[in-house]
Amino acid sequence: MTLALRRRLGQLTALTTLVLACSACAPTWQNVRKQEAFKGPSRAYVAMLPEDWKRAPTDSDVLLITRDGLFLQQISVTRHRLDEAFAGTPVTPETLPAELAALQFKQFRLEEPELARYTKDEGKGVLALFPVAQGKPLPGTTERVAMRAVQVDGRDAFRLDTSSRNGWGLEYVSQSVGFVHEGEYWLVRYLAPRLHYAQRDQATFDGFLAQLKLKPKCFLFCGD
Amino acid sequence: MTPPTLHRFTRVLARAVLCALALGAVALPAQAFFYEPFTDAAELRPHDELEQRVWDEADTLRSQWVRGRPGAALEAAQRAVRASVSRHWPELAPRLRVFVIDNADVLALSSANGDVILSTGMLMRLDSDEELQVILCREIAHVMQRHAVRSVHVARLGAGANVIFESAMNASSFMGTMGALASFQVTPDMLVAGGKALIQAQLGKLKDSMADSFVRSVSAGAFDAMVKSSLFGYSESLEREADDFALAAMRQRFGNVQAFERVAQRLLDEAQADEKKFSSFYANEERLARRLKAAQAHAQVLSQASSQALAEAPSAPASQAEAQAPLQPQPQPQPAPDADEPSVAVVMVVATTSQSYLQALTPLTLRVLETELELGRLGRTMRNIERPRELAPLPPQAKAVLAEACVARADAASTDKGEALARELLALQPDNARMLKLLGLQALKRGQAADARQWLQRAREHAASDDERGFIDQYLRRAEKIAAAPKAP
Repeated sequence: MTLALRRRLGQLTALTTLVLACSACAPTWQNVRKQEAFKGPSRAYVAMLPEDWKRAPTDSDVLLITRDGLFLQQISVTRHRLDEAFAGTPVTPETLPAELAALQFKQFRLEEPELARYTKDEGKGVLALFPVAQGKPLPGTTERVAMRAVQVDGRDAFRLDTSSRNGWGLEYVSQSVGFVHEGEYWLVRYLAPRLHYAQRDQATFDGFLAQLKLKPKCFLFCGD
Repeated sequence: MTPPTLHRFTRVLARAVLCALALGAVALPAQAFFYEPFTDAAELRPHDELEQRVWDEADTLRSQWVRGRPGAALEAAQRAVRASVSRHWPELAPRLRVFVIDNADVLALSSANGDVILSTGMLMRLDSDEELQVILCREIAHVMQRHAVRSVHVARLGAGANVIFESAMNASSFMGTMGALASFQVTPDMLVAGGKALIQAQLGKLKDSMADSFVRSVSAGAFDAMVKSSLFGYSESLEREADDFALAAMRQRFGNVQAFERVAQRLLDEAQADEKKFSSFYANEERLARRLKAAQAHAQVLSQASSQALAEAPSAPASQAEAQAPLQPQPQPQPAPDADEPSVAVVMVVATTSQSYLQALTPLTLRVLETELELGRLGRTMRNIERPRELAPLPPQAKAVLAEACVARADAASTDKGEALARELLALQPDNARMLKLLGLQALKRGQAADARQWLQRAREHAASDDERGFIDQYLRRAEKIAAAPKAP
C-alpha cells in the first residue's frame, strides 16, 4: 500500500468518525405540545414550559426555550458557581441584588453569551454577509433601560431591562432576573428583537417568571 | 521523459516561479504610492473604484455609530463641535460630517468619506476649544491623507501576496510530486497512464486554491473587515502622519503645541490609572505615550527654531513638519512668530469658542462619569473628577460619583475617603438619598444593623423613584436579618 493511499484511508476514517460523532451529538429541539413542568437534574427549580414552544435538549439545569427560533424570542435559565459568575469579582450568598445587577450589566456590556453555533464556512463568500455572530446582540451596544428590585418565589432578586443592537442594527430588548439560590447565581433572561417579537411574547415571559418555583437542590435519589 | 530531463524541467520551472514572485513583490508595493494626500477640500471625494467602495462602506458603517436623532443635550454638543470645525476649517467643513455620540469610551473616529465621530467620553476630556482642535486635527489628517483608503489598499496587497504565496506553496507541492515521481524512477508510460490524472488533480487544486484566495480576499465580508480595521486601527506610521499634521496645524493656529501635549498627557495618565483597559486608540498607553513623545519633540524643535529665529531670521519655517503639511490651515489670528505664547487675539477667540463648547458639554459630563463608574473604571473615573479643571468645572453631583467610586474601590483608604465625601455632601444637602444610601450600605457591610437602618430609612424617605425604594427595602430586610441573627460570643 503506498503512502498516499494509506494517508487517504486515514483521512477517510477520521472523516467518517467525525460525521458519526457529530450526528450522534446533533441537538434536536423538543416541542412542548402542552404546558409542562421542567425540572433540571438537580431539581433546584421547577419551570412551566409554555405551550407550542421548543426546548433545546440539555442534560443540565440550563434551560433554553424559544417559540419561533433563537434570536427571535428566547427564554433562558442559566446558573453559575458564585466564584465563576463574574470574572474577577467574587460574589457571596450575602451579595445584595443591586450589586449583582450592576455586575450583570457590566457583563452584558462586555460579552453576550454564545447561544448559537458559528461555523468556519460563514467567513467565506456570500455567507460572510450574514454570519450568525452578527445576529446576536453586540455587547458594546448594551444600554440599561431599567433596574429594579423584584422577588422570585419569595427570594430577593433584581430585574434588569436592557436594550442592545446586533451587527445589522436590529434592536433587541432583554429582561434579566438574577438571584442567588442554593449557593449559585441564577439568571432568568428573556431576549427578543423589539420589532414584532418582544411585545408579542412578553406575557409568556411574565407568566414563566411568575410560575417559576425555587426548590432545595437534590443530590441523591432525585425522583419526582 | 527520463528522470534527469524531468529534474532539469523541475529546476527551470522553479526558477521561473521564483522570478515571477520577485517581480510581483517589487511591482505590488509600488501601487501603494498611488494614493497621495488630498491637496484641498474640493478634492475630498472618491477618485477610483477602490475609493468608491471604501466610501460606500463608510456610509454603511456610520449607521452603526450614529442612530436616530440625538437628544437635546447631545445635539447642542454636536452643534458646538460643528461650529468649531466651521471656524477653524471653513473650506473643509461643508465636506465633513461631524457627529457626537453618547458613549463614555474615549473615542474619536474618522472615515474616508469625511465622517468624524467623537464620543461624549472624549469630549469631556477636552477642556477647551483648543484641546478639541487637537483631536479634530488628527481626525481631519486621517481624512485628508486618505488613511482609510491606504489601509484598505495595503490590506488588499497583503491578500494579493497571500494568493501568490499560496500559489507558490502549491506549485512547490506540485514540483515535489514531480520530483518524487522522478526519484521513484517512473517511466514515461507510467506517467501517461496514472501521472496524467495526478498532474491534473494537482493543477486543479492549485486553480481552486487561487480562486478561493482571490474570492476571500475581495469578498464583502473581508472587505468590510478591512474597512473596519482601517477605521479602528491605523498603522503607527499613519498615526505619526496624523500627529505631524495636527502638530503643524496647532502651531499655525495657536502658536504652540501645548494643548496637544496636555491632551496626550491627560489621556495617558487616565489610561495608566485604568484598571479596566478597553481597546480604543485613545485609551492605549503605548500609543498615547508615542503621541506625547511626538508632541514633546515638536515643542522642542519649535523652541529651538524660535530661539534661532530671534537670533537670526524671523521668517524661517518653524518646523519641517509644518513646511511639509499638505493642507494649509485656514487663516486665523496669527501669533507672533517668535513667541511660544499665543497672542491676545488668539486667546480671545479661544476663550469665546471654548465658552460655548463647554456650555454644551456640561450636561453630558455626569452621564459619562456615571457610565464609567458602572463599567467599573474606578481609577479613570476618580482621576477624571479630581484632575484640575479651571475651564471646565464639573456639576456638583460629580462629587457623589467620586464618593461612590472611592467606596467601590474597597481599599481602606479609599473607603474612608468616600465616606468622608458622602458626609460632607450630606452636611450641605441632608436629604441626598444617594449619599444616605451609600452610608447605609457601608454600615450594612460592616454588620452595623442599627446604623444601617437609620441611614436607609432616611434614604427611603428621600428616594426619587419606586425602583430605588425597592432596592432600599431589600437592604432594610437584610439589616433586619442581621439584627435578628444571634450575636457571636
